[in-house]
Amino acid sequence: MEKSRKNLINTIILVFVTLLSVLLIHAWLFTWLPNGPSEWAATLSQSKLSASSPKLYASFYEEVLKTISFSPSPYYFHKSLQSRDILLKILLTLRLAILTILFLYPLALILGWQMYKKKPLAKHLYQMLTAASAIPSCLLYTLAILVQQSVHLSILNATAVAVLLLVTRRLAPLARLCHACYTQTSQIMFVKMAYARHIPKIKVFVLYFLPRATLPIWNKLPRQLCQILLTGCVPIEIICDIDGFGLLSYSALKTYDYPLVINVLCIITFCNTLAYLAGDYLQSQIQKT
Amino acid sequence: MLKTKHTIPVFLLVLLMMLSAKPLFIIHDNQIFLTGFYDYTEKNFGGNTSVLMNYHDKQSLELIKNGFVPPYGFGTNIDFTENQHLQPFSQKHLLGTNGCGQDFFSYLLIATIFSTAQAILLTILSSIPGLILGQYLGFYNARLGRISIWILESFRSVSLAALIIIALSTPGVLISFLFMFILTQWSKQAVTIRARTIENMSAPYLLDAKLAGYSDGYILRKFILRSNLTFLFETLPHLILYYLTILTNLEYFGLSLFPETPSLGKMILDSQQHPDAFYLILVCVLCLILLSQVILKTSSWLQTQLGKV
Repeated sequence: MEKSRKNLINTIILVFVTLLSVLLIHAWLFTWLPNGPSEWAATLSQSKLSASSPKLYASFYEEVLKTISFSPSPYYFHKSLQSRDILLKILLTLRLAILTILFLYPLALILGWQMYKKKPLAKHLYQMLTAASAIPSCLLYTLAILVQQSVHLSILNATAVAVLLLVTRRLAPLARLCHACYTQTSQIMFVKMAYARHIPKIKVFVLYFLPRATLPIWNKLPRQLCQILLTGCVPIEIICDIDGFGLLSYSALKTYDYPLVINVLCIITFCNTLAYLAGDYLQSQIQKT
Repeated sequence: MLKTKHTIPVFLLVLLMMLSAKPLFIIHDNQIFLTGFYDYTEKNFGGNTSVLMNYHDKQSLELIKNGFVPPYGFGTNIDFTENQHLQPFSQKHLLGTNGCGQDFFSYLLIATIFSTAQAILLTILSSIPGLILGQYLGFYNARLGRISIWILESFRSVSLAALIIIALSTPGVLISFLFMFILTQWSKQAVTIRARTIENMSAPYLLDAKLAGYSDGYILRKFILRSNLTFLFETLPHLILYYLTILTNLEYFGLSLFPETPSLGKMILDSQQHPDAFYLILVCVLCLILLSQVILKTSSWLQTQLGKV
């Protein structure tokens, strides 16, 4: 009991120190910007350069700078109406990302298994999906513009098309990872021993093989969700005309709204860090079980 | 039948000829002129002026019309013989010309090579330090433990897009980008390699090697590196494609590390204005599909070669 409490305290300290380090690294990276970090923070919070600049991360970043210069004062994320707008947009994109993950993971596990079994159809399908993953988002977007100035779909159809596109573009790398994990797990001695002891195949597969083989795949789950949520949705939301976080990022880049771009990047970084930590925690929990 | 190893040099020669804005050689008046490597003036070909030869100029071409000139491309040269830019597909310009009057076919070939080279370079720069440091962090996990997690998580959070945007605001764009990239992006590969190394540490052959008295360096080089390399090659094609798509997207938005160099992002942006834009975009899609297949096959070949070793 004492040991687990000590572990918990250590983990909390680690998370806190890591988040602080991430913020410090970003503060250091922003010092490379022409006007230095303090002026950037001031610009972001005052929104002089941009009409759409959100104060969500700006206030947070300003606070970090104050903390670095040893003059802390309490601030919170919800500072203005614009922050709430961004959160609503993230929630809309989150729905899309969760739907994608729900289809992506089972399909990747199945395709990886078929590739492990050396099915020719799976190999061809994998090659086609790899080709699909190589097409950059801007190319898809340009193609959509040329085909039909913008694709007008009902909300339901737009979501379905968006999920289909997202799954198609992300299936190949995940299936390859599944295939690699299946191949390596099949070589492990205790799995071979289980088969040799004539334990029913389905039991070996479910209890011995699958939990071990899918370990690195579950580790990737929060990261995948985060990637789809924050960057993967950008072209898809533009093509399908979904007013989410991706469309906001795109409009920021397209209108050269750099304060908004930096804010979006900061939000992406913050969410990515949380996702990585969640992934590591998830892996450690699965390893324990 | 020609074997693959014979067709590759022929293919590379044709590619080199198409990429070059001037012929590799010219046979004129029983003399061989190595035009691909040296500059010649019109006087060398019997002209009156000492002006450098322009191999897309009608008057210059008149001088060598009796000689043998192998086929050559446009490179990034502007075709001044055309009256207007944004030409549609023709026999002379297979994919037409862009707004500056550059041949789109040559531009696509050069852009594909540059963009792929950039993606491969970034993959190498992130993978090699990631492989080495990830191995060490995994191998000495018992000693380093939470410190290794802290280092990895801190650097892993920095996104490539942020690095490019910040680097573009600095005076020495390329040097500052490379410095920041090498400093932070190794961690993305290192995390996976570290996890795999920790997983492999309990393997019987490693326990055996430790009991046999092999040094840590020897175990890392001979046993763990091999296993990790196999895993790295599994993910390598997708990492290259990941960098390729990110760089292309950023170049499309005008965030380019090499603003003067042809790239796929700039080509996609330019092609929107073209009269045959739809077909041009389809050619780009086809080109990227072929490129992905080439990367995939090369990676599989490398993996097979590694397996043989």
